[in-house]
Amino acid sequence: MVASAVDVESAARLMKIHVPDPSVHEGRVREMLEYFGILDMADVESDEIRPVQIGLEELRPDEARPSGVSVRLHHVRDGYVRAPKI
Amino acid sequence: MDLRVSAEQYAAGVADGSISAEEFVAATLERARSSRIHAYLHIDESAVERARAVDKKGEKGPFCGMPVSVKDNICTAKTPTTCASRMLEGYVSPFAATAVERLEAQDAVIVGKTNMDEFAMGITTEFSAYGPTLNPWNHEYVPGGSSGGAAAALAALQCCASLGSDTGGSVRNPASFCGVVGFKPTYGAVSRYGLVPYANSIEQIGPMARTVRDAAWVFDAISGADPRDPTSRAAPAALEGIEGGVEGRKFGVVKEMGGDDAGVSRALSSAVSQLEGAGAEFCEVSLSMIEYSVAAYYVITSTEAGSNLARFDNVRYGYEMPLDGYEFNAYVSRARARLGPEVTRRMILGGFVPSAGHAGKYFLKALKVKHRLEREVEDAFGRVDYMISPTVPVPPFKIGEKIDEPVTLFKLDANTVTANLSGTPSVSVPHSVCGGLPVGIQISGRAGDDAGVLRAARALELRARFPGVPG
Repeated sequence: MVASAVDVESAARLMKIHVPDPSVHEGRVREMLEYFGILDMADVESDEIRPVQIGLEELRPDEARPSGVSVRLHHVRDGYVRAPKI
Repeated sequence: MDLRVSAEQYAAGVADGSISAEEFVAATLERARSSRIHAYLHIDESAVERARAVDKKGEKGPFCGMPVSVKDNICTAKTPTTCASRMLEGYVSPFAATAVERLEAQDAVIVGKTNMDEFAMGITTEFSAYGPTLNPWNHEYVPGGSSGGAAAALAALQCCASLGSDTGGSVRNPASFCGVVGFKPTYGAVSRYGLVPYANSIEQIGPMARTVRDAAWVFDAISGADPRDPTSRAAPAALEGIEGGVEGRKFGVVKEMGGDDAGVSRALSSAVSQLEGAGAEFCEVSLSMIEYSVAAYYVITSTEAGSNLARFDNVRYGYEMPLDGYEFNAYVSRARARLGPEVTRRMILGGFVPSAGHAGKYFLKALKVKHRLEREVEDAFGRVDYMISPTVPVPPFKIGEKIDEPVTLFKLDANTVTANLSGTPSVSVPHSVCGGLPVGIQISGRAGDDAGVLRAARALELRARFPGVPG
């Protein structure tokens, strides 16, 4: 699988990055993906993936903590963070 | 003021009154300000004031006002944290990383934030959006990366210790290229709270210093469980017992982790002889998955980066860019145009390799290689106590020499990524000088045996008699 400029543009769009000229990145991205092709030669098809598991009780509490961060943001009005319309 | 002292010598000097923390920190900052090597992105001028406060304290913390630098992807509450990216220009975190808090609680003084490859994506520090750091040994050469600023600052006597981060060798590679010690702890030994994530399943904050003892000291200060990072855990002390030596210990010379340069290969042979002289035993070990490890590493890290960097939407973090006239997705896309070319490429890869239709070929296979490699490493540590290799297959190279060869740069991670993919501790010890540039030797150990790895590194350091940075 070799990435074309269309693939690069499509992946950039997926990652929400404005890339004015996808052809700038096409060559290097293709070179990287061609190198990743070496994974086809690793005889690991029958191997299983062992995910790392952490119990919910080990996670830190999911709670809001006042941080004062909003005063450092560029777009704040009446204590709320402003964002572009969705 | 003689800045060529170890961290331990500095603290002893402050304790016996022969060194003033204020004068030492002031001289350190002056040296950093007047330097050409561009090790720092931000110098904290208030450091002298904090050092003065330590001088006045009756009972000082163990670091006694010691100047410490912090890589610019580790959060500090008073200085900017930009990850060497224009995307985060001027960003100041509302909190400090646990590792930083722990150092400051022991009276270390953070003097500044060091240069790095943007978001830690690179091994030369040339991908910093603010310009490269120069190798203090020869300014025409790269300092390694991505923690290149940290290693260069240490080698150039612009701090006594430093915090870096290591995702695929980013502490050990620049340590090797700049002739300092760089330690990648066991995964979980140091809290990642406050480390801006790149590939959080494998990365660690790691200490860098001019001696192995200093690196162990800093490791002891920053390691241990942290409720704010559920992957963190207790770590045994490393400094105590560090002089225990390697008598009767078994080392495996990793067949697939050689040197691609005669000087680097000679350094490895010499290190083996020196450790044999200290009573260690050697054999060869082979890890067949190393051939695929670099590709697996880049597939996994690109995928995780694609997810981790999604938070940089320029709303919660970022630079001043007017909101008006933009729909949300268009705004984020436009704002991210400030990401540098290497980060942009890794993000593109991060969108591509785990996506429907490609995940089976790339991401899932990379995870299988990772897990097979973990098993091979576990098996190897059933036969040997440590593995040894050159840290980097080649000595430092010139700035710009390899920047247009992405796969060549990838392959220079061949000796370091195994420790990250397997979660094991690994250290680079400065060993030889080859063509006027330093060469480091890497020693890795079993997960959890951070103290043993540093003990072995100390044994090698004592015999290598590395000369230190000239000038």
